[in-house]
Amino acid sequence: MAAETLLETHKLTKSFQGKTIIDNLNLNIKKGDVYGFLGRNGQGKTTTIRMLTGLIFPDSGEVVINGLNLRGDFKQAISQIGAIVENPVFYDYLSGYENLSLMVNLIPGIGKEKINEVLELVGLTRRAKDKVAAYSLGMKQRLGIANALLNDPQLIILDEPTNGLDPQGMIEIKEMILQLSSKKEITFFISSHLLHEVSQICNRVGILNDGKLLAEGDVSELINDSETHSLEEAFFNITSGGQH
Amino acid sequence: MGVMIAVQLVNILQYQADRGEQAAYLLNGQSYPLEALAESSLFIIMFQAIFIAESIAEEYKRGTFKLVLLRPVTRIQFLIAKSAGVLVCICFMVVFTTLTAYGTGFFFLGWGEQLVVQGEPLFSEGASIYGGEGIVLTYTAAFAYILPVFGFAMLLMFIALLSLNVGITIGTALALFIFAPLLNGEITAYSIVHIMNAFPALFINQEASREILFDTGVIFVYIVIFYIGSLIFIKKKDVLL
Repeated sequence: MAAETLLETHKLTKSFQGKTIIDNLNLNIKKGDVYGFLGRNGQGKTTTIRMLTGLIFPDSGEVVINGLNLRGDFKQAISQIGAIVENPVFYDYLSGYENLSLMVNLIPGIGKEKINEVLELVGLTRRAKDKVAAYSLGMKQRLGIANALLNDPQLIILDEPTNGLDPQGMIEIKEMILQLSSKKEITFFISSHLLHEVSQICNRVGILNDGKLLAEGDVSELINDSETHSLEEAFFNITSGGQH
Repeated sequence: MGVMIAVQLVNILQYQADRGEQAAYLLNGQSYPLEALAESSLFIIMFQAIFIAESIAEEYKRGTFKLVLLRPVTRIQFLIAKSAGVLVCICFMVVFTTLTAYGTGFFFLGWGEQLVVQGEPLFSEGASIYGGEGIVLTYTAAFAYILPVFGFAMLLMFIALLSLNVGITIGTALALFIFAPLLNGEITAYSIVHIMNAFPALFINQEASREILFDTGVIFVYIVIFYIGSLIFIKKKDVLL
């Protein structure tokens, strides 16, 4: 039986100052996917994520999350997801716990006990009372994931989650994603330009180039279809105009 | 907050130095809150400007703006929450200023025998106003001050959303406050800065109901126009930081 679609976009288009950044983007992310959204820097990955989370509005097209139109049913649709857009940003002068307390107030039906639960999940319990200003980038990333987990989302959207992390930090984040995906059955949408990272954790990918989705599918299928041996080779083959 | 108390102390000490022994007769503890409110006007406005610039422009720049927008909070609710925050802040500042002014005024000038405004004793039906009646009148004027300040804050909120720049927001507040008194003629009646300065005094003058009605109308026009302007802008705004 085919897996149910959790996030889809229909002909999503966005221009800035007359330049088309995203061009008729049709994405399809199924429940249980760890979906890698690949593209070089400046190809429109973050713009897409901003449209998926309602931070910017498409010129045309629509975003549907679990059957709910993001524009028409914003509150219900956004309640299904957790996200870190670009960098995990928090109030530096507050502790990790206090930052999450502020966020809990914005989510109906969630109590403060949820904070300890998500901090435990991301391994930040011991440092929860420390000011965010004292956190490393890796810890901020984990706090961002804890924040994204507060509303028990079906889908977590992460924008370049391993960017700027040291090798140990990268491993921790990747392990956390895989753990949450398998234990909590959370679907992940991860944008990245680090192909090796993506091939290690994602089962499906979409390849974005110049605002257009060039390919989408299972990692193994893309590699086979492009007659290559790795995701890196498949990516370069596809983005340089090869068949897929 | 410390600045507000410092302003009051400087104001009282300067007043005593200028007026010598007559000081307590011309100004007393029960009258000082009205004086302090007028003297603190610039600080209240600037504090508002900083509060609005920080909570909108700076939060946008820092990226914390989007923390809220990624939650089930509509942009209308977001704007209402920001406006409510501003209103609470204004109320707090007005109450804080008047309460501390009662304290500093009483300590340095004594309570006094009656309410005195700008050196003139106030009367109601031929009798002096003092004590409880004076406090009620003081707080009526103080709360009346909240409304035009909120109208001014809505204007600043619109500027903050439009510019998303802390300097422009605070600079606009300062420029309006400094240059608005230079306006001449009938247009003055529509200046929110002028209304801010004049509106509380209308509640002390018992025959100013027409002016109160007119100014209230102008203030509401400011609030509605700039709130709707902010709403239209924020509903369409692409959050890029």
